[in-house]
Amino acid sequence: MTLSATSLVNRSLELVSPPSTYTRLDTLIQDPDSAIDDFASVINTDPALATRLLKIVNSPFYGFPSQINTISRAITIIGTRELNHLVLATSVLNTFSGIPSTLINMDSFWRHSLACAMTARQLANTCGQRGTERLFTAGLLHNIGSLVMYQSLPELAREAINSARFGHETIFEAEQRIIGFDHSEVGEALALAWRLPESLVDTIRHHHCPAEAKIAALDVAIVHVADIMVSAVPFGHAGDAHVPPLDPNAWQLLGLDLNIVPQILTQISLQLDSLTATMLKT
Amino acid sequence: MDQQQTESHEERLERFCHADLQQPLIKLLFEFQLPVSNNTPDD
Repeated sequence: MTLSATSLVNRSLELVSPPSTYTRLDTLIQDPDSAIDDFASVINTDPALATRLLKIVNSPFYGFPSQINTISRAITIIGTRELNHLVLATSVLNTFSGIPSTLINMDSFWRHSLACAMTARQLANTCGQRGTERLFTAGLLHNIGSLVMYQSLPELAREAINSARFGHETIFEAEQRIIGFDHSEVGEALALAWRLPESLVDTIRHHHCPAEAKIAALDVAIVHVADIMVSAVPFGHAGDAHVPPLDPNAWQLLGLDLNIVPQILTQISLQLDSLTATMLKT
Repeated sequence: MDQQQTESHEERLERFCHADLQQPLIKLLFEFQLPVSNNTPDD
């Protein structure tokens, strides 16, 4: 049987189960009778997650004027949907294990992903978007398909990485040629299996080809640009250190002045280390 | 790696080989340097 992105994800689901707290909170969000205490109770059943969430919302990156000491207070200030995006982002950081360090430096992978998350959120804020935590999560998860490949197809993934590193093709072209599908297709299959929001599925699937976005063109464009910005600096990398090609229409869609780019990257460089330490360590 | 301070022009060109340096955003990113004090070793 030919391996597809979907069959790879289906056989990997035992290793990468859906983030349970996120799923429970998502169910509560759909329930009109749910109250803030219900959300707080679910999050507080996982003290490590609750502690990390409070550290994140109190970090300089969020810049709230006063200390947020409880999950209930965080929900009141940030909102249930927004906080659940952070729950998803925080939970996924701990989902993947057993990836050979000879294949990918995971610190570098998450550094790239976190920088992309921060940049995407910052670009979205600058574009005047509301509810920008979804962009943070989208930036963090845009390469999540790569982790499934690294975990379940390490030798083929290594061949693709080496080909992209020493050859003249992008990582997604190398994956397509060697494996038959690329990390964005695997990411899409995983996001669908986890029942993540459609806009997030669209962003993960099309972050290298924003012109093909189906329902969230601006979100996809923002993550596409953020990925290129942080690859250029670079802040870590996700396996391939090259700067991906830019779709200029994606940058135009953002409607921003070029002058904002150095400002955002400089700001991210000042906040990245502390947010990385907060999110990656208990 | 966050290695701007040690990256040669040729290495940077190689890293940008898939990008079009004629595009204004890419040109800006190619020329952009973080303030040295903000660079931290990565990997």
